Amino acid sequence: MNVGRIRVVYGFKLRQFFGPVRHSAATIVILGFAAFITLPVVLIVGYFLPDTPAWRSTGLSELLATALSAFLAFDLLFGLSGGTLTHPAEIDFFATSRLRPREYLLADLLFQFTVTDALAVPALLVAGLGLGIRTGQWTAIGSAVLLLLGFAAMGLALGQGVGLLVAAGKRGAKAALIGLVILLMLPAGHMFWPPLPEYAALPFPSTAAAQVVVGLIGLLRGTDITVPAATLGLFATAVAAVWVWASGRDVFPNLRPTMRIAFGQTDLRKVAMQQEALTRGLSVLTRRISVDLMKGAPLGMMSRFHLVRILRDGSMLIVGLLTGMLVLIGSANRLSDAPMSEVSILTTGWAALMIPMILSFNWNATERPNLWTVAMAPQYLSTYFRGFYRAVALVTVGAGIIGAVAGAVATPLGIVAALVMAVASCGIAVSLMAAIRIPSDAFSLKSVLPFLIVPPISIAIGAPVVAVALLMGSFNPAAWALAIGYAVFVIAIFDRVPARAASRFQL
Amino acid sequence: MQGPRASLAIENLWKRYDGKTAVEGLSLAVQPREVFGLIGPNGAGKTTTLKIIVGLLRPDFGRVVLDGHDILGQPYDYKASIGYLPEATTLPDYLSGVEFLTFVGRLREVPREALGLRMTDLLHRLDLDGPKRDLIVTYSKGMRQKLAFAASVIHQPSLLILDEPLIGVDPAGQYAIKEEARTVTRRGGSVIVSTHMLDTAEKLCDRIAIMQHGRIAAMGTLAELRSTSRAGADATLEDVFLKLTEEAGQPAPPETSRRTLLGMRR
Repeated sequence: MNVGRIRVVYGFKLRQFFGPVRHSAATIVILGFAAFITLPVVLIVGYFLPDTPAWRSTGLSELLATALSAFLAFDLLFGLSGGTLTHPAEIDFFATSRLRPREYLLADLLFQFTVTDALAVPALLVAGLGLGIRTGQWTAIGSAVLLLLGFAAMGLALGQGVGLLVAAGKRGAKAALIGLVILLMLPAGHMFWPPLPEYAALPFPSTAAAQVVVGLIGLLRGTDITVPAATLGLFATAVAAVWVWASGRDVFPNLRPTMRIAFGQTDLRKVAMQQEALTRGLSVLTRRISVDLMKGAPLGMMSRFHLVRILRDGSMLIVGLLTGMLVLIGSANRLSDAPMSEVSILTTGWAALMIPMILSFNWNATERPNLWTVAMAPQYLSTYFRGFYRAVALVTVGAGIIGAVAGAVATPLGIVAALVMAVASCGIAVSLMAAIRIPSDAFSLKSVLPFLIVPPISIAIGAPVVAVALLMGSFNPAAWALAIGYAVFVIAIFDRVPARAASRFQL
Repeated sequence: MQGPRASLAIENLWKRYDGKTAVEGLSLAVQPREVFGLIGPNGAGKTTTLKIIVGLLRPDFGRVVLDGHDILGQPYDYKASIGYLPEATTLPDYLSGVEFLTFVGRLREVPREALGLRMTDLLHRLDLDGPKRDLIVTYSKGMRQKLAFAASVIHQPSLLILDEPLIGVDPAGQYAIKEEARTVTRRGGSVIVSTHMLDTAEKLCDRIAIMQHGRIAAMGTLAELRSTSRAGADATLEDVFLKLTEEAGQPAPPETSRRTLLGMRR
């Protein structure tokens, strides 16, 4: 193993990834400003952590095990794309040099750790600092941080090792990986369906790591800690064995270009390509789903076309992540026994408002350049955007309802409010994209516009339903009639707005 | 087919993927000091063949021998003597040209003191010394192609493999690339060029193989190809190519016989 070559590859990956930061004073200022705003908040959160309901909850270990399992599952799912973060130039110019696979993989693993986990280190340290100031238990806090980082590193190594086996086309590797992900995430359903076993009842590595972290937190309260050393040791050994075995082969013919963007990349087309590359491993779900464009009226055809495009172009990755975030927020709400309320939809449902914007930005980056085909048949331009709106609305409403139901914090009228907000945000986002030409290769004032316009207007449009519920009561028939009537009105209006906006479309 | 002095010999190479046979029993030999052209219609198997030589694809069957060493038996060390310019390269946008070349040069184990001189020389000859410290994201398509070419020859390889090297490059750049390729042969090395630019292939290549359906339809000097194709003494490579590929466009052999061969895995 040549350490010099590992350093060169690692250095290349870092410089490539952090290129925009190195070369743009504005990016440095923005990052510095973000850190200036965020880190004091994290410090305060760390300090007041012992006062939160979750801190004293008996379910803390379960919640942490869920989060760590989700982290492992994400690493494994990333393995479906090949397990490495590889820039195309690395395949062309590095894999064709004398570099050994294990040297490359080690550099890649270091890089993955740097960009996915080490960036979280400052936040973890500052939160630990806050907690340390409050409790004075520096050793326990330091140990918990180190354990979490070690667990993260093992998760990455597992994802890379399994990803290499999948990329090599090992029989059953993909099925085993998906099975492992399902197995890991199944106990998360216990919170919503008690017959499922909970994490505490299963010897998962995530459960063991969560137990140690919670045990360390328990030390702060003066209780004992039990370290499930056998489970953690077995996990570390299994990860090492998989990695050593997988990295001992000639992996270069199986490398896939999965890393096209850099930190702070302004080219949204490349960002979209990155999403597509990361979700390519899920081709079982995406590429094989075909759409019959011969059937039905043009509007239905356009809607189906957009749904399949959204599924295939990698947008589903972000939708899935945001939905997962909604479910996680919901789980935390259940844990802290937050009461059901209509207002909560305004706070927990905000993530759903991001979905239409992300979907429309992805469309802007990947599809807008292809729209000359539709532009040549202008009579279908409005149908195209109406179909686009309907597809985006379907995805957003679906994700929003999953989040609202998982959280169990929204009353039925709260869900109607979420529906109205989602429909409005989809209509506004799609209409903006149709009416305004937003460049996909650079940030501009226009590219910020949807973020400034869509969420506040959507929340304002959803607010009357919340107001009706608060003023008249959630189970008042008159309130229901008003809310449903308003929802139908909003849906009818926004079904037309994108078609109107299409008249302003410019390629 | 394989001469005793061949710098690269490919023997009965087979590669099948995505349900299609990309390379079918390919054999050829490239001699030292030779520019060898690989031409053929889209999907003929040219890029697949080149990727197998550089170790980015694994063949199903066959041998690739470089300077007497079977590359499948020694899959890494032989790469030290190869330079590869892929078709449609993607370069790291936020590195400067010099930074990118430095990384490739160091990975190619060019001594540091020589690397600086080599970069200066290459960048000058490819007319990239002006923007060499600019980010690659600001480069035009032709400048990117020239930079990728510089990366492929930074370590002075003895076998240079070029896949469509001249696409998007200005005439001066094309001349510089062809000159650098000839420099490789003058040093005793060999160059393999895959291209659709037949006039360039005609002028640049000493011998040419015309590939179709993963097989060699014809191989030799231009004079030999003219003779094979009976295209006439004044026929251009384009005339020869069109005639030979038309003749070679016959039905492929039965699938069962291919499967029998593909079953013979190493």
